[in-house]
Amino acid sequence: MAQSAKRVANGIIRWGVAVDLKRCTGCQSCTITCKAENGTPRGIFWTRVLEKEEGTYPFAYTVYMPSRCNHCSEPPCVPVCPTGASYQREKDNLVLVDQDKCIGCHSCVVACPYQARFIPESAEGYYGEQSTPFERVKYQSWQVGATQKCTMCVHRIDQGLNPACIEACPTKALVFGDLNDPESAISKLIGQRSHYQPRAELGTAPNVFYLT
Amino acid sequence: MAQGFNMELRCQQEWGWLIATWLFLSGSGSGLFLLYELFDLPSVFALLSLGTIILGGAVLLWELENPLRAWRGVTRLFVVCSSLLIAPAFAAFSSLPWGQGDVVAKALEWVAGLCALVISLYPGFSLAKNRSIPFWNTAFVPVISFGFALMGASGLVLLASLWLSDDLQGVASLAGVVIVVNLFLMALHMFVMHRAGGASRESVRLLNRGPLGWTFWIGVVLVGMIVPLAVVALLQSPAAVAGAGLLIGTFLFRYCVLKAGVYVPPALAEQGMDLSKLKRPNVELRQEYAAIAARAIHPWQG
Repeated sequence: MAQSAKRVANGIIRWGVAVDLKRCTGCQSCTITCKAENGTPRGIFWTRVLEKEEGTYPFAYTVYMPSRCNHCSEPPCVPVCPTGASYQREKDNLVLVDQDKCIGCHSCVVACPYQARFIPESAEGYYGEQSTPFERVKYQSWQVGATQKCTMCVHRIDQGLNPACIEACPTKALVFGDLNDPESAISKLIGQRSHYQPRAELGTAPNVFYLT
Repeated sequence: MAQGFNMELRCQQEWGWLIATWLFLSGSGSGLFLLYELFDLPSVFALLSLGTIILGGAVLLWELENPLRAWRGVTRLFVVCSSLLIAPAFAAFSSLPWGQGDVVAKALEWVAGLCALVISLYPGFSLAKNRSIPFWNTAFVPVISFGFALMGASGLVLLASLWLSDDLQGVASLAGVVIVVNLFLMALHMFVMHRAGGASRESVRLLNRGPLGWTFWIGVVLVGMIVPLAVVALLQSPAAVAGAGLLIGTFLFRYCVLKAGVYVPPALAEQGMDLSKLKRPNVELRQEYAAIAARAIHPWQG
């Protein structure tokens, strides 16, 4: 039995995000909110909105695709970790990194098909060597040379709150919830709308769904 | 590092010269121990194998961001067993209670041999398990990688012919066979990857064009394979030249394979995906936003 199937059978929560590509306007609110909430290092964005130009003049347009860690049910980044620093939480599917165990071998960064893992090379803030008070507080949550990634705002989820990016989306293009609960808004949306899971063919069982 | 916000094919930038050096040293070193066992080479080759693997481990530790937290189990077991195995061959340790043919020595030989096999196979499998990079994620890569481990090991032995008078014809013949097999497998792999399209084709394109193309075709194929093959097949005597070529080719092969690793692109960047339905008329958007304002979706309320 696959790990994901076991989790469903055990009634474990499976957090997921539905991204409505028709609603996303590419405003990058999620990008900035994530940075403010998690204090990510300079130049590193745990979530970001990718852009692609389509069509030709005069019928050209841009499509947007918010990209983030998919908190896969079968995460390819976990088994490649030689120290067990990357792990999946027992009580749900969140894929997290123990900063104290990571040796910085880059294996998980290379293994992630979504390019959603990062290793900061310095703790220098956005204004050079002089850190801002915000940076001094927030930068304590990660280590230079250790892998970091979207935690789905685990600190907020554990308090019963939505991840910060979900709250910040002005067009409600992002919907968060338990995929194992058939009554949740996300499950209903996925049931009603055509959708795809990014790179599901790689066997990662991603928990981000793009509604088209 | 600054991230791109465009959907495009991207090469992995995480692994470069240092990881290539580690893969080269650990592969060649462990392959050398296998040749030592296979051809009953002098004990100095076991010592050279041990030194090469330890050097590779040092390079890996240098590459790691947090080296003090790491040390690999299999490598450690190999270092312990092979050290104990070869120690009696040297005068300073001749009083150790196990020698050639002893049961303890045989057991150590088997354990060290198995560890060497695992270490020589590891680089290929460590690349092949990455589903994110299709050029690596094939059954060809571990086989080719193991072949290059044997090529590097043969290179070390042939290069050592400068200082040793032993008959190395068996190793030279093995090197010739491995070169031919690897040439065939590499050509087949690149053909299959080119036909696969997408990121795989981009990897093949990188190996054929630009700076990496020069490194691959001149360094790996010509210097590292064709020249050594010609030397061992036709000339036979200047084995050291073949050895040097094999070492250069093996090292550059590791580097080229790493640098040609192209990630699968974001799903929306795939060719053939109909994106036009994502473009919506303003009337439809206005209606939907009005509905959102009237009834905000909140997942916690179901």
